[in-house]
Amino acid sequence: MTAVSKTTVKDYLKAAAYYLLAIAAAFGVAGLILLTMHQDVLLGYKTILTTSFSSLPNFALTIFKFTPIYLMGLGFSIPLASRKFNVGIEGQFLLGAVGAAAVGITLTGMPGYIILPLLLTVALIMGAIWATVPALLLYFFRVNEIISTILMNFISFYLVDLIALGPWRDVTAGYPMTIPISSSARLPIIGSQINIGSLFTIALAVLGFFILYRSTFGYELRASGSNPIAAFKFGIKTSYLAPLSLVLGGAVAGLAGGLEVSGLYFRLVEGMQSNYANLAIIVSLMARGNPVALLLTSFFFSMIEIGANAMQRTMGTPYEIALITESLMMLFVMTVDAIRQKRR
Amino acid sequence: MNYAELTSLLGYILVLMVPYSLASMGIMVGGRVGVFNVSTEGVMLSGASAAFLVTYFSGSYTLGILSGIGVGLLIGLMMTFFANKLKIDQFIVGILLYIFATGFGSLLYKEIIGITLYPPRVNLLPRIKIPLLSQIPYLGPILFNQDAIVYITILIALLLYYLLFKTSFGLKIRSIGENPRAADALGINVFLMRHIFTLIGSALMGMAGAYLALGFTGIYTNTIVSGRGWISIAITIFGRWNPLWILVGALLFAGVEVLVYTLQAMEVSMPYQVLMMLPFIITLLILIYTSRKAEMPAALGKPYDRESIEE
Repeated sequence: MTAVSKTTVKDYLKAAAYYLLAIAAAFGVAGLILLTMHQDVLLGYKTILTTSFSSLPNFALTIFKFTPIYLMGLGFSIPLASRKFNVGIEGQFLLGAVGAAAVGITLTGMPGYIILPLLLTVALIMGAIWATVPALLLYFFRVNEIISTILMNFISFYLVDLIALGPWRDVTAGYPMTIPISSSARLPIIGSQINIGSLFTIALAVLGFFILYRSTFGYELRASGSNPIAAFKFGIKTSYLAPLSLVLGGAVAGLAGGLEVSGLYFRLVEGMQSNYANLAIIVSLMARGNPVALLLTSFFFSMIEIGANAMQRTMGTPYEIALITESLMMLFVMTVDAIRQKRR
Repeated sequence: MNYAELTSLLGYILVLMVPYSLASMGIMVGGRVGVFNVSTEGVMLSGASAAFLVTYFSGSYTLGILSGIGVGLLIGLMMTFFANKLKIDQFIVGILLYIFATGFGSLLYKEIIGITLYPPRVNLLPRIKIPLLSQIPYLGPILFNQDAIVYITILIALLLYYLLFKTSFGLKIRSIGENPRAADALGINVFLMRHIFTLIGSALMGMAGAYLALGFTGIYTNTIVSGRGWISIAITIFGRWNPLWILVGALLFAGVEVLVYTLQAMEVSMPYQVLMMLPFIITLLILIYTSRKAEMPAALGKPYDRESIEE
């Protein structure tokens, strides 16, 4: 961990081998669970690992899942740099979706180049506002952010229910959702399947990397996270950095919600957050909060998600097996880390 | 509202007090030895799932509650292995185990029962009428006509209070949460105690979930816990990591929940979603209120490593 020791290619390969072992172990447990459920284990592995690449629509679907998982992962990663756990990405995502739906439904007859930036900005701001509450509680009262952000999630669930069943309710649908947004508020689709939203993730990955690892703000944020006392003594204003990082994380998660409304659902739908938040937390931890590594982990988990959904359809295996495998994977990765650190 | 309705409504406060206080005491017990276990919400869901399934197929409440406790112990074993043995960040382990346990509880039910139009149901835990005392007007039917777990929960709180605050063993335990290095120097087996109390804490969380299924709903759904685990963390902080104050906090939140149901039943002119938000908003307000004088075990959340230099 020290700056003096130089990491060589051999070290990287060694680390990669250890992580592969951890991932294999998680798949091993998943296999055991499949066995107890009298399922074909090998077919299960094949479905999980290859469905994403089996056809163009499946690949497009993987990219569709990748976008919110990545952006919410980034929303978790930014506060993680200052050792804060933004478990509220779910609510921030939903508030972004609420904001996007409000803009898309109310503003009609405007050209796309005006309404789209407006919609995404509103989504971003709504997410940030939702994160501002826990941020202020942290700044003024030192309320633990895990609890406060989770509580904000529950409030957001009922808020979405209220709006989806309110004046904008789509009465023709048998499920809580709003009427669709105007056609000019929808993200254009490039190629045949993939929308512009996924391009945002690449741009934000680069931006996020530069903010966290190449800017003064990012440096101070990481310093305040890894050693708050030292950072404070070096004159870094640690007290406002962590709350600010929560707000930034909320903005990114809100943007994810806006992109989902504008690029996929074209309306606010109850439950549209799926279990993205849980996945985003795991992929962010696995990438150690690094926005570029997050691209990889997010894609890997999107792949598992598509595979697990296919498994549920074709083999009748409950989807939850993916959730179990994914959380175990992270626990095993950290186990490997802990053991390697002890040996050093 | 007539007499019978009023007493049954107020009786529900005691029923709902049980999951809140068992879960909070689970968090408290771990916290007293320095382990902040935030997996509560997930452990409760797993406990509810296991307890429901076992009682549904065996017809035994005892076995149901015990399997809820068993699942709690299982996840507690993972918690203590990753957080105490490997010294991985307690919050990260807790969040991951919350996700794991949520998946586990839901998978268990889906695999065994499957998706049904009407969820299968078990009868709620039988109520025990305490002779004479239950005849007292108003108080009798509220306090002395409850199921066994209500009484057991109060006993557990009293027992934990006595153990932690009135015995020398309790003093030793609490010293681990305050200053593990000093406790270690005094010859207290810090590691063993951290393992044991993490397990006990997680078992209590599992029992809390079991009671939700067997004593409150009679069915299992994936939304059976719906935030009560997270609220329990706030109750623990509000209760200053003291079993008796936790009981008070649990009663308070049970009261808020019953109030929400009552207002819904009375069809007040407020959207029900706003009413459902209330417990969470009140929890946030209580967290602000307690922040000024929050007393927490000093070593809470910190792994203990004999060889490390930093305190």
